[in-house]
Amino acid sequence: MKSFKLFLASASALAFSSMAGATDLEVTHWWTSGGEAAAVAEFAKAFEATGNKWIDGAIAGGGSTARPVMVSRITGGSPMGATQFNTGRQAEELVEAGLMRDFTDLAEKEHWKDVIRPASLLEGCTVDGKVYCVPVNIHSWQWLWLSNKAFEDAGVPVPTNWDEFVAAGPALEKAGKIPLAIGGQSWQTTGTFNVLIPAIAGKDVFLKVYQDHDAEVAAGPEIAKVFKAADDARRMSAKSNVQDWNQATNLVITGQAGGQIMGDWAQGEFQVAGQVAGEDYTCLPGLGVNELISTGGDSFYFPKLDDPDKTAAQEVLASTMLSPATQVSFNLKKGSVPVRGDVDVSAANDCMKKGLEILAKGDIIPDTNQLNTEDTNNQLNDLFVEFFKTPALTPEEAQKRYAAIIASAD
Amino acid sequence: MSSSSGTATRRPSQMFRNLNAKIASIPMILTALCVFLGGTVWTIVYSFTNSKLLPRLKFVGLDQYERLWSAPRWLTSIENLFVYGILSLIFSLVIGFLLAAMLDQKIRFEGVFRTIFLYPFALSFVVTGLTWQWILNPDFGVQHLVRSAGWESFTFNPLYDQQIVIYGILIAALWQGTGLIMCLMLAGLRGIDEDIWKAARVDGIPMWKTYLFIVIPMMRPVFITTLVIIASGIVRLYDLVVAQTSGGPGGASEVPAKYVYDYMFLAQNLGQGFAASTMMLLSVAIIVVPWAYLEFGGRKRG
Amino acid sequence: MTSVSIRDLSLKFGALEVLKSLSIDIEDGEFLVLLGPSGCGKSTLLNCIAGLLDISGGQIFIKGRNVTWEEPKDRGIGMVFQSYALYPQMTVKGNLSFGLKTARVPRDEIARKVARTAEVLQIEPLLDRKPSQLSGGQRQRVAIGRALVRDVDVFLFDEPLSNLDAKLRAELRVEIKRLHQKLRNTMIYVTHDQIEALTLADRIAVMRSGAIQQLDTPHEIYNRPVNLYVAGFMGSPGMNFISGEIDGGDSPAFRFAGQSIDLSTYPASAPIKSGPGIFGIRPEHIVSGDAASVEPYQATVEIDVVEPMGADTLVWAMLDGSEFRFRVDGQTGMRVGDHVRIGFDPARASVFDTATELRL
Repeated sequence: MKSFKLFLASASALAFSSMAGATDLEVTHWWTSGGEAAAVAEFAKAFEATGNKWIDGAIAGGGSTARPVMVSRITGGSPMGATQFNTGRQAEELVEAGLMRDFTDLAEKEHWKDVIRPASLLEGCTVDGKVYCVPVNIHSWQWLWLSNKAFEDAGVPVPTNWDEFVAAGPALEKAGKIPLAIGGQSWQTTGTFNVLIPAIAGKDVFLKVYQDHDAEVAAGPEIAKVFKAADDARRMSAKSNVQDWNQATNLVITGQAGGQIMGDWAQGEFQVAGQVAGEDYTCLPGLGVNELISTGGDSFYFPKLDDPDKTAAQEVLASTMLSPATQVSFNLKKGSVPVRGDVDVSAANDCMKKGLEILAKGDIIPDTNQLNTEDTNNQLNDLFVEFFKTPALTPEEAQKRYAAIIASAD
Repeated sequence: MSSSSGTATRRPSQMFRNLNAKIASIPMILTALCVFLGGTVWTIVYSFTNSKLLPRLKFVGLDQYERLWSAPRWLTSIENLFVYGILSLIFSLVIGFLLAAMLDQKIRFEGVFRTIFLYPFALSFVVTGLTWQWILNPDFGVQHLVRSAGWESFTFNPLYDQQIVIYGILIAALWQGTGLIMCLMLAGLRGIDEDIWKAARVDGIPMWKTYLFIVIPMMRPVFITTLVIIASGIVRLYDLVVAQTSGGPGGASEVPAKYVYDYMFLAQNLGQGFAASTMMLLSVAIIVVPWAYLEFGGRKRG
Repeated sequence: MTSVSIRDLSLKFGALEVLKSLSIDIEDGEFLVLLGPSGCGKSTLLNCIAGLLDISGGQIFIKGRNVTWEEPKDRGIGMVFQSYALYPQMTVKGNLSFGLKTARVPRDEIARKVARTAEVLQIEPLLDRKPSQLSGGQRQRVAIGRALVRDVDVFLFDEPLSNLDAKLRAELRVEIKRLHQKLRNTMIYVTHDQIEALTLADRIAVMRSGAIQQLDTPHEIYNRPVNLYVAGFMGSPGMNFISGEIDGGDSPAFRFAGQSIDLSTYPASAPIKSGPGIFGIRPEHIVSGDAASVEPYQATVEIDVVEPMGADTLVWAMLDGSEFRFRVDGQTGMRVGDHVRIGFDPARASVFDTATELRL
């Protein structure tokens, strides 16, 4: 059935391409918010400038909705030309099953190992010496976005770190604001917690829990402190009733919420809304406590296709995505850091410049997507979405369950 | 001259009787065997493996089941299904029957009322879930309406309250499904002999007692059919929850079918999903097998 | 004293008048049969007496009380339906006691009444059975029992035997008659079967299109039908009708096709006037062979068709152009084409005016 479908797909593709002379390539992704759509349009523009056609396959609903669709298409035998995943273990089994193609030759030719920094990004794409994906950006989670207007209305100065933010909570509530905005989807609450770990417990504890999967540390006193901070966050986000991450960001943009813990992709939203960093909003990397940022992000994977024209087009797309000009235009719109160290980012805004500094200093940690399987991440999602909405679930009880999940992680 | 041949003929093999009919039913038999039976067996077998994104035959015994029954989310799902199931059953039957009894009173415009009550059944669960999400939304829905009408302190926010979110889902489900139950009950009521009503009236038995003690016992087959239909809808509860609450708030409205889907596709852990769906099959079997025995296996009633 | 009394009862469905100003007085203990074809309104009338239908005009009295607007349960009536309508999920005992339980009668009294009813109807061994386990006759008795147990004054029967086969019908008919003799309650019985009417009734009300044609004892209705319709409805095989002219005056006669029948012994209700008329004579009142020689009117006829019916034989013949039937003993051998002498007594006949269809 699979080969028959592929035969049909490639036969029609052959017909198409022999008609147009340029190749159509379907690219699936989940970038549907205003800022994200603007960014992915840059990729489309650059690809079409090479004479090929970008068939956009946007899937709404975030990664958790899109990934099952992408996986089932690849395993079901009707693969797309290229697809986004987060850099890390999300496509691990697909690569192991031999469903994805490698770009080892292209990587050699274009010296990817030399231009892509940090090295962990390309390492995450390499299995048994072969390069299976193309990292296109560096996103970090560890940011606290604050609305200057909200604090003005509440009559308190804009906080410079997490503790000041917690202290400003009551004033914000009195002014009718939601202190901390979080969306209902479970990955957001998990993300919030994971950001609190390096900020409050430090880089070593973070690595012990997520890299070494050390259950003792997970049950220990440092993590207990993190859970207390999470308890504070829970209280401050109790009135937050939106679902998507960008709806929560919107609360901050419009001054209805004091702040949001979200990755640097939130910058795209502020940009589209025309707000200026430092004037309308403030960004605190590492929550202003420990200036560490994670180096996660997105990578593009390419399923194996039978059509030689499309396979050739895949190489063109991979190369285009990493080209210096495209890297700049895409990342500036996306709010992320380019993967190439040799590009001109003088057009970046304040917050991105902060991120670049921290990156240059090397104060980085790997992203949980590179350290955990989807299974572990999902269990963490279940725990934290429950924790954040259930005041009756004590931090101690939640920590016990947390330690159990870490213990069983593989 | 020979008389008709002496050798006696044997009865032709039963296998080849009705050959055309048997050949015609082969596709259905194959489908039932391969797809339903085969798929079920395959799922149960693989629930004892640690398959992740793709199925693999690495057996781990009862590990998946142990993990399943210690997962708080699964326990919440089971509890929700239980509460939802029992209440949905009771209310569907009661409301459906009451509506049918009212429609049976030879009122005018019966057709109009019937259409109105049956209309929500034409909507999918996704549309139903979204609609009720909006109706129950505190900022745009019922709470907002009542507040703007003057009652400032009125609170009706089930979808954001962990204790009662399952009742919000129950309301949406009842709204959608009661119409069908009403129609089934109405058909059953129409099958009751006119003379029974007259006899009860002559005997001086009040309306409600006639319904309760005479008519409803006479409608036993209809009730059983309706019960099966409602029960099958209960176990399948998934799209309503996804559309209305996405399992929230904080996982309070999770249901088993959603657990299966989420672990199979989101968490890329097929083994867990298979274990959960095997448990669902078991629970259905526990209910269906005794019922089937009572209906078909026991002594035939006159 | 009258048990049931109906005064000017009428029922309209919209513009359609279903029952036309009926008045009947039924004596205590009387067995009244409402007889008529489908659609004549007999069941409707019964339902009105029972209180299951609201009437448009008139009054109903039961045992002296005006019950025109009372609920069925307050009228002191019990009803037996065509399908018996026993409560299928209850035992016989349950069926009998349910109405009493609802009326909050004390338990020991219920037990007493049920036991008494069961004894009268001889259904004691059936008390723990469900209706589906009873035979047709047993079900009928339970249906009657349901009314009996409430100590009602009047029993209403709505075609209870119509659903049964001929043999069972005959058996149960006798049971009802015996029951009436035992209980001596007033009974109003609806049927379209004239045999049931003739065998069971103290009086019959023959109905047609919502009006009563004749209310009289079976004997009167059979022998002195008040109009052509009643005459033709009663009797099986039906009355013979011959069209002709009536000569009034001192020596009245009926002329037809060259024949003349002397009507001087005919018991007319008023002096006979001349005019077109119809002469009716029942097949069993016609004798043949030697017995014919003593009859006032005699004729010779040729046999057309012979219908042997076991106990009797029905013979069809032509009398000067008019076809008629007469009955002979089943053992008598008659053959088609035979000429036979027949005779009858005009005093036993019924003569009708063609225009009014009323009996003279």
